[in-house]
Amino acid sequence: MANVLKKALRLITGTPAQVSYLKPPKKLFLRARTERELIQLESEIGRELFGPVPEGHRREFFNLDPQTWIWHEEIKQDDGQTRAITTRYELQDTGILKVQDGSHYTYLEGQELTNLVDAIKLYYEKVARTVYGRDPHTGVKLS
Amino acid sequence: MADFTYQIPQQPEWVGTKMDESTEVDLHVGSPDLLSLDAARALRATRALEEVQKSYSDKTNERTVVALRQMGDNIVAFRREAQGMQEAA
Repeated sequence: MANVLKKALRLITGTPAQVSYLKPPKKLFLRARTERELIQLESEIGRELFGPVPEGHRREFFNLDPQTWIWHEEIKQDDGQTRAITTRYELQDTGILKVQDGSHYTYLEGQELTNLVDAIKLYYEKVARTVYGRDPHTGVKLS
Repeated sequence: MADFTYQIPQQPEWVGTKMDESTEVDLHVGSPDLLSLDAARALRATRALEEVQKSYSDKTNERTVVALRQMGDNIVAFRREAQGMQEAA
């Protein structure tokens, strides 16, 4: 999971070298770990939204911040190598920008757009209820 | 918005010239200029339709993005509160 966030951070900041040298204060580090754990819990729900994960695959799908969603998939190939694909979806005023490998930019359209929107709605519903015990529509704590 | 400023191309020089019947039929039925005029009209209609569709799509996307951002905001708020609870504990 740490790799996923590191990749997500690298995609956003574009400065991988700085990430490894970043040494936050202890409290911030604790907070970051806690946030990571929560995102991990969310991603356990997120990865199931697209059907069962094939054996040998690893999939993560989670909300990074209010306007960024991350899809990460690791696929074990026949030659034993693992191929990793990280896709970032940015919610922009004009649509949803899909960024792959930090260099391919396209705006989502058609069925792909519909699928992502449905997945995010489902994610929100399930995560709000299951992880945070909240009513997704009102935000009120579920008893 | 749709582009309604499209100008119909100038009529070709042969229009209005005196021709015998056989020539006239040939020119008016198979004339590439007339065909291109039809094509221009079709293109204009297509462009207008595309503009309407794009405008509709943009508005739909805009509304969708606002809704999705709200969900993201809520998730981050839930997360912060959960972090606060854990840190307090």
